[in-house]
Amino acid sequence: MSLRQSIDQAAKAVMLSDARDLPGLVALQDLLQIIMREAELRHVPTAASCSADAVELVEQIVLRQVADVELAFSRLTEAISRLDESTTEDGRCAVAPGAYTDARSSVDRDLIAAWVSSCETTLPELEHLAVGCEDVAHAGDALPDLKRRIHTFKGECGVLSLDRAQRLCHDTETYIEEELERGRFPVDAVLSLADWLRSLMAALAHDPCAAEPDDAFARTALHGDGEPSARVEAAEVQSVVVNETTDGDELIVLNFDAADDNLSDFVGEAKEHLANAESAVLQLEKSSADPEHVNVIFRAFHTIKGVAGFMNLVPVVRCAHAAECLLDRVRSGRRALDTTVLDLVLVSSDVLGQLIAGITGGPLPTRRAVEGLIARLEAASENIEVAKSSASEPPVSASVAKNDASTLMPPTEDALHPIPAATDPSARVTAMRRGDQTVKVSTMRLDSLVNEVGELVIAQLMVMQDPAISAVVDQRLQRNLSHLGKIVRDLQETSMSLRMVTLKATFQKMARLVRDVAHKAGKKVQLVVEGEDVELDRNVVEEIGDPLVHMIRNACDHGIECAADRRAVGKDETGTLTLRAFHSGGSIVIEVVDDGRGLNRERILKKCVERGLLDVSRNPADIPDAEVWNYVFLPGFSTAEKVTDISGRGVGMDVVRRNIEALRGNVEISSMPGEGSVFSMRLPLTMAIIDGMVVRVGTQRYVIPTLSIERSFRPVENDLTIVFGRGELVRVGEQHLAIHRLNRVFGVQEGVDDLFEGLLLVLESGKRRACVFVDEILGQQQVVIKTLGAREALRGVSGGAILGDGRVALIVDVGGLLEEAASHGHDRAERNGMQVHGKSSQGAQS
Amino acid sequence: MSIVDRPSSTSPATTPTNQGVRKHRDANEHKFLSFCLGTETYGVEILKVREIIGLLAITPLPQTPPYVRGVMNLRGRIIPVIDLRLRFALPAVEATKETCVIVLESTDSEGEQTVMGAVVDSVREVQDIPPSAIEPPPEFGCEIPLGYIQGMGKVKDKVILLLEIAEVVGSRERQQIAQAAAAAASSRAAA
Repeated sequence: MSLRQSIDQAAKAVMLSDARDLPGLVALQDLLQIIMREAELRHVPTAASCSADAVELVEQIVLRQVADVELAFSRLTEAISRLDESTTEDGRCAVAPGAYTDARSSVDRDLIAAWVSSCETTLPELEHLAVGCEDVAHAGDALPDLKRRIHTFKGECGVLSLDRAQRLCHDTETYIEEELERGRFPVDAVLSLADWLRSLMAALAHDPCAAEPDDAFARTALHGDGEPSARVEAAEVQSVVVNETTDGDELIVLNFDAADDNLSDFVGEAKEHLANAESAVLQLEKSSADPEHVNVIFRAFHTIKGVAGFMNLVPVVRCAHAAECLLDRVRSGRRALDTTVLDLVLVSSDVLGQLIAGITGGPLPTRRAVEGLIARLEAASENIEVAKSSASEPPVSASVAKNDASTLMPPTEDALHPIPAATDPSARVTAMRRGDQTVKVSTMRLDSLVNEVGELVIAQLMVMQDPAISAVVDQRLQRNLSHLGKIVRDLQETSMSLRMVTLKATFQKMARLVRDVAHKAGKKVQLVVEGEDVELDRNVVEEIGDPLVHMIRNACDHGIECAADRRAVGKDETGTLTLRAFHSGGSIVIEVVDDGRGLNRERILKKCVERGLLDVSRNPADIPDAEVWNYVFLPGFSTAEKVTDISGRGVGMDVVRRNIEALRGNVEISSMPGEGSVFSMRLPLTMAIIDGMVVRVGTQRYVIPTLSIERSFRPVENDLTIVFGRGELVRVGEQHLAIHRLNRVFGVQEGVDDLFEGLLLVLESGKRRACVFVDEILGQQQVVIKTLGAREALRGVSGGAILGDGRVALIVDVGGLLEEAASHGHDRAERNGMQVHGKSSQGAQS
Repeated sequence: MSIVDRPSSTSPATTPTNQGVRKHRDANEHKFLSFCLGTETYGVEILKVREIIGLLAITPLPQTPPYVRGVMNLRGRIIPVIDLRLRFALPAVEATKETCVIVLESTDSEGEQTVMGAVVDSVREVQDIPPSAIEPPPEFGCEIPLGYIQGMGKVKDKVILLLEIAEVVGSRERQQIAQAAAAAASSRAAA
């Protein structure tokens, strides 16, 4: 790998790595050391010293010897950009595509993304205005408007540290003023500015830190100077560029049908494949050759080749094919897997990435780059060491150098460097955009949309259930109504999915936390993350951050033992903490699993006794584990002997339970002494809608979340038991469950009293199971959860739902209800028991 | 129990903007909506009245004091409803054609917006009561908290009790209600 490439790679790596990514940092450090040695060999003292600085910085970051990681990173970025400059000076090579400007590292990526998306509308407007201004005399308001817009672009680019863009905007502004004095309007200049900005957008949309494209061509339009001769000159410059690039530097031409729907799918998939391949390469570099990684890369190229062949994208196919051949040789053991191969794979991935970006309007690579790469790949698979030429070290392009004199700023010289998309008609496919494009919408609008859709669902139900409608037998009306119903359901689903986000960001934060806490506690902990792509409602994701922090802290601090203890019991010194998310029956389960010592049953029980939480009459040995574990959720409950700065105050688990319950979820612990514990949170997919069973109690209706209902049945006399002091019980399978009468729990003065006339629902919440007695089940439906407008939560009620007739039904909070019923059950039981006793004897008499 | 408006369910069409309120503030500052409970006339500031609707189906809430009638559906939004009769310890009566719900909007001391319905026997009219015609609440020397009485408005020869609606089920009451609810729960349990 050439020095230049190494530096580019380092620049990339520093942008992509962060303090949490240890392997990445170590790889970066290795890379920097290579650069340092290389620079010393080549006698580039500045580069050597810069890279030495960088190596040291990385080391400090890795060893956590820096107080401010952010600062260290910005210093690192600075060092690498100095390194970059120091090697650029020798003129052999210049900024390669994908190189990064350091100033922008500090600019918020979101800001750039927001700007890029806003430009999607403002750029066409700018072009429209420019065309409108062509006739200066009749331009009217368009002219000042246009000037304002260019000025705004200039300002925005300045804020975003897009220096080249800012200068180009500024020069265009100046040029417009000059031309206007001559009574003309330079439409071409503005349009080429717009074209150039568009290519910038494309680059930024792909990567917010991407380098700004070369503006040499856009600048030629600024040199019209107003005089016809000067314009010709500009045209000449342009033609010179074209002439001199024909010998291999011309852009690759892709022939494709822009309207093909499959194309956008292909682009999205191909990008994904390339990303997979790249990460596999990095894995290979880091660890010993795992054939699976080679297979991953091979599959990526193979898939791209196959689909590209179908699309008739010849250069893509050739590139992918060459890379695939090389990998096939590696796979079959005919070629050693060395750094040359890995470098080539990365270069192929870059070139393929460029080609694919070209499809969507991005800058295309030059023919020389592609051919050079293919040649190198072929040579490598023949096991011939090729001289590092062509693609890797592009020769100075004389044409651009000539151009230099006539442009305001020196253009970069790199055969690989993309010429702005504007020059290539095939790349000007504005209709095609990246597949994964997103629009930023304020959460308020999103919420109000979701709310309104919720109301639409209610209104639709009200119409459907209207007696007047059900009386109509008109088939067409019924068909249309059911069609409407389907659309509304689809709309509801879509609107719900708008709020879904992945857990990735949350889990990534946790990775950092694990490292910090483990370091503080002096333990070795390895974090394994599974299922970070699981999607959850945005509100839920926001709320689970805190509980996760507490659970992870606990697991690191209390769960996982220190290295010496682990060795003593024959475990691996490094503890493993697994953060796992998965779907399970309509809800999401997030588990924090540690392989530590497990919860200490004796200590918890001892603490319970100390605090008087246990009924003295109970034998501690008889208390089931689940109940013991539940005590740790009590506020102020801690078995830690001393309070550390990580945990021990007993606040954490209380927070966990509260937050999770506020989300209508629950949390459970299972633990094995010596083997570790599992904290699992079960969360609803969404906060806004639940699937509910509508039940009737007297004239009141309640909604019980379907997920909590295990089954419903009409009791048989033989199964009923009345236990004085414990209430009514019913046998369900092998278990006896307590019966809670909903009318009594909710104080409704009506409803069926005879157990044989109503229905029993077996409800389940966490590990609690109980039966609830209702008059009847009215049906199952999706309901939109609404707050009751009451600040203090009512025990047993989680909200309200508006049913089809427009009336409000309360949604039963099963967890709260069972807890409430259980806490009062003792007192109420006797009364109930007597009543039932009386009832059933009455029943026997009649 | 206190009654809180969650912004998520605010329907923009029915919420006057702050500017709108300010514009009308001067004109409506001294206007009061008067309504009847039994033989007595009460008034609330018109600025706090969002709308007046007929009595709709009300879903009772468990564990709340008797004067909290429950919740109702106000165009897709659930609001709590209190019965002012029961709140002021007047005997409950059957609903008549005149019985209606005044939807009130207020911001409590903690800055939280509150929307709730109040069941009244009938609404009368909107009256201008200048500050000069309003006297402070009388000192009865009794234990009834009078914080919810804003003042006594004199219109012609009648006296109208002007209510501070945030206080009717406001922060001062919240604690009492919470206690009442707890007591109700425990008495129910003990029964």
